[in-house]
Amino acid sequence: MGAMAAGVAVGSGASAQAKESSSDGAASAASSVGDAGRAATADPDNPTADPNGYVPDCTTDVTYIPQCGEYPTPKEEAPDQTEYSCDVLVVGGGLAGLNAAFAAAQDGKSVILLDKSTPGYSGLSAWPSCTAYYDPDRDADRETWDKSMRLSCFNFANLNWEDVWCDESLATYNRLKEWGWVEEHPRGVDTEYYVDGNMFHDDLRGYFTAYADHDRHKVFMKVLNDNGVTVLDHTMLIDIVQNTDGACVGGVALAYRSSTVLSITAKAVILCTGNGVIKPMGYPVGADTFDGIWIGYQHGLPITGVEFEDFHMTTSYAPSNALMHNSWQYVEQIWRTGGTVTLEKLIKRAGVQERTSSYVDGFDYSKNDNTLMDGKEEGTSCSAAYAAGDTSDPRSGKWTSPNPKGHVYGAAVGMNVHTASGIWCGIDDTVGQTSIPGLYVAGDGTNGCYVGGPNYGCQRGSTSNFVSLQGYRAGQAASSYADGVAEAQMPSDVVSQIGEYALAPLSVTRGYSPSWAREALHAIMAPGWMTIAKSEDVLNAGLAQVLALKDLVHGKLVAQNGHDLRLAHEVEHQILAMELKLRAGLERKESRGFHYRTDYPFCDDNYLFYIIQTKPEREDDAPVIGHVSLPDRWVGDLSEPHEVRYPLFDTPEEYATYAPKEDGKPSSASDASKTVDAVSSK
Amino acid sequence: MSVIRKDLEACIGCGNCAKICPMDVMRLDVEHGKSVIAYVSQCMTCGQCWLNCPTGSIAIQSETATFGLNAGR
Ligand SMILES: Cc1cc2nc3c(=O)[nH]c(=O)nc-3n(C[C@H](O)[C@H](O)[C@H](O)COP(=O)(O)OP(=O)(O)OC[C@H]3O[C@@H](n4cnc5c(N)ncnc54)[C@H](O)[C@@H]3O)c2cc1C
Ligand code: SF4
Ligand code: SF4
Repeated sequence: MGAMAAGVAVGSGASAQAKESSSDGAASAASSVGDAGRAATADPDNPTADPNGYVPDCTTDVTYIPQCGEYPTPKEEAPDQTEYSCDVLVVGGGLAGLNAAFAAAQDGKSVILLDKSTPGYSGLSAWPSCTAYYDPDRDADRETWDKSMRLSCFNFANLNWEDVWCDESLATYNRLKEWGWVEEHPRGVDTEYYVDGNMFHDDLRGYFTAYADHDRHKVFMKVLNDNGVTVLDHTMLIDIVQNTDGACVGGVALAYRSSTVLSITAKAVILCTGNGVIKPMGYPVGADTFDGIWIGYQHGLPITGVEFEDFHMTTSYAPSNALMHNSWQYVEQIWRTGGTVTLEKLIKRAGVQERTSSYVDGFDYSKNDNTLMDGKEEGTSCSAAYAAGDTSDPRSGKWTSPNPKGHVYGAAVGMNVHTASGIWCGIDDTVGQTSIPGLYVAGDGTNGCYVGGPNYGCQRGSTSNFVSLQGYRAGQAASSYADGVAEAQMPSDVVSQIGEYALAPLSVTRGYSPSWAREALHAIMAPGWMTIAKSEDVLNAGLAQVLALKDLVHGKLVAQNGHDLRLAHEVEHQILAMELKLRAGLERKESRGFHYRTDYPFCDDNYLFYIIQTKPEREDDAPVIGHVSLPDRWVGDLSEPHEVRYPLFDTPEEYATYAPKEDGKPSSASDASKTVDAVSSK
Repeated sequence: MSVIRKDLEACIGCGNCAKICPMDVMRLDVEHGKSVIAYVSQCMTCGQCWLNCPTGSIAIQSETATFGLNAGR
């Protein structure tokens, strides 16, 4: 475990800890104000302490000097080992990567897994609160299921992957349960630790400590260790390496804390790098920054699904606080959910998405408080099995303790809707095999397969199960590919080129701070006109700004330490992802799922294709845009009337035009968004 | 909003926070046996360091430092 940081096993200390007072979550910001009048010197060769023992940190950018009597940022020791080789390299330790590594290890392969943080705590996988499976004994027959998927996903869902999910999700669930990821223990609200759902009042830490034995976040490292997977944590894959035949034979990574380049030779590589975000505004996306998309694009692979913006919410009064409305979900058990969403149920839900109406017509300030979700509310959070009234079905749904509802959108600025975006592997692919031999992709935001369509369709909780299943299949496929490959060898010139590229920001003396570039990108992309209700003019304006930023900072991001080195690469990836997002948004001149164009407000059957973008031959040219037509079975019967094909009437204009009269059809588009019951997307 | 130091004395240098933090905010000063809130501007307030800190040395501040820019509000 070359790059493993010092420290005890995660959580072992927490379990030994006695309960503490309920108020210790809230400390005063006032206490963080630094002492005035410090006189310390910042000569890098001879730093001296001031009378309070304060030593300036000369190794970092001045904006990072720790306040409040913290010690200076310590220098991190470089790992002893910098060259590795294995059968299968897995990049990313979320649910997809965990299952991929497990499958390959079970198949007798030597496996190395890299993560930018520590598996279990990074990416999206630290956060799900429910998981779903298809139950062949209880759920609708497959034909009805198909129809349900089609209608709830705007005739845009990948039904080949959906077939696989129906076949294998129960086994996947059982594996997750066996690992201890789906433990049962009391809801917070039924214990003494719950006060009112506000993380600053509840004793969240007390609850977490009391049930530490059931903590699912620890499961990831345990499974990896038990299966002999070598984990290199706090290590970022910079790029994959192809040999002269074009096969993927490993990767070059950065143990960023010590700015050390690592090379990992592998017979096969599986990218499970998650989704991405510019900056999480209350939705904890962690270390995901579109790294898989960037790597795939650089190697000529098609990128898809980026026009469909994620839908998550945050609270308006604490928009940057991820724990505010994910608190109990993080510490409580995973709930089982799922079941067949009936056509009748779908149509009852028809209406303008809440995020569209609240953004277009204004936010509902009557909800601008600690509105609590009671955990059993109707709508999409509710399990279909529960809604169907079958009390014997264990998939009782997402019944986490009541806590504040996020009521403004854009919590994950730039993130794409679950499972739509990433590298496109083809209509028939069901193992995550790319067109580069030896390179596989799995998981949310990395394998752009559209199993949940352009809007995360009707299956709440299927994502955590699906990415696990997809990772497992990619692990198996990579393992059998590795069986047929002689020893892999990475071309040394390519390895050193990537190594130099990895460290290049440390040598840039005149340039721009990656933190600044990230803020600038965030400011361009965050407003709802870029993500929720878009139009040609605004998308073009956004694209011009993103390209101006790219022009300014590309290759000129400065790193003064390992932390910034990681950030500099991440920002390059975020800028590319936003360019691709805006270009795809311009190309899709219609509205579908979570892509609403105010100038093309209807679903248009002429757009029943996935948009793919590939790298142009000349760097300065725009990406090459292609279309992938969908098979007949996925798009349904084109001769049916519009309102039958698209019963969700997603946009205000769809609703005003197509909603049945007896539904209280409004007379205009803007009326529609005001009068229709909000459809919660959470 | 971000992680904040509540009591540096209490820190036993167990390293949990530095290991868990997905954003590389927390580092461990092995020599002094203390964690360091090193790159606080990256903190996404996920609270994982706070939940897993055995001594209550760190906390999440309740004060609103800035309003983040999202889709609208
Ligand atoms: C708040 C929240 C609530 C959710 N609720 C639910 C729910 O109730 N039910 C449900 O089913 N789903 C839910 N989801 C969605 C689900 O959790 C995710 O879709 C799923 O966990 C994604 O898994 P993944 O492995 O594909 O990606 P991730 O979990 O994001 O993992 C990606 C990993 O890759 C690492 N990484 C990225 N780039 C690199 C690189 N260059 N080098 C090395 N490592 C890298 C990251 O550190 C990360 O650990 C929720 C998500 C969130 C955030
Ligand atoms: S709250 Fe989360 S992001 Fe912030 S320092 Fe703690 S672990 Fe890191
Ligand atoms: S988890 Fe707590 S005790 Fe352990 S190093 Fe971090 S602050 Fe110190």
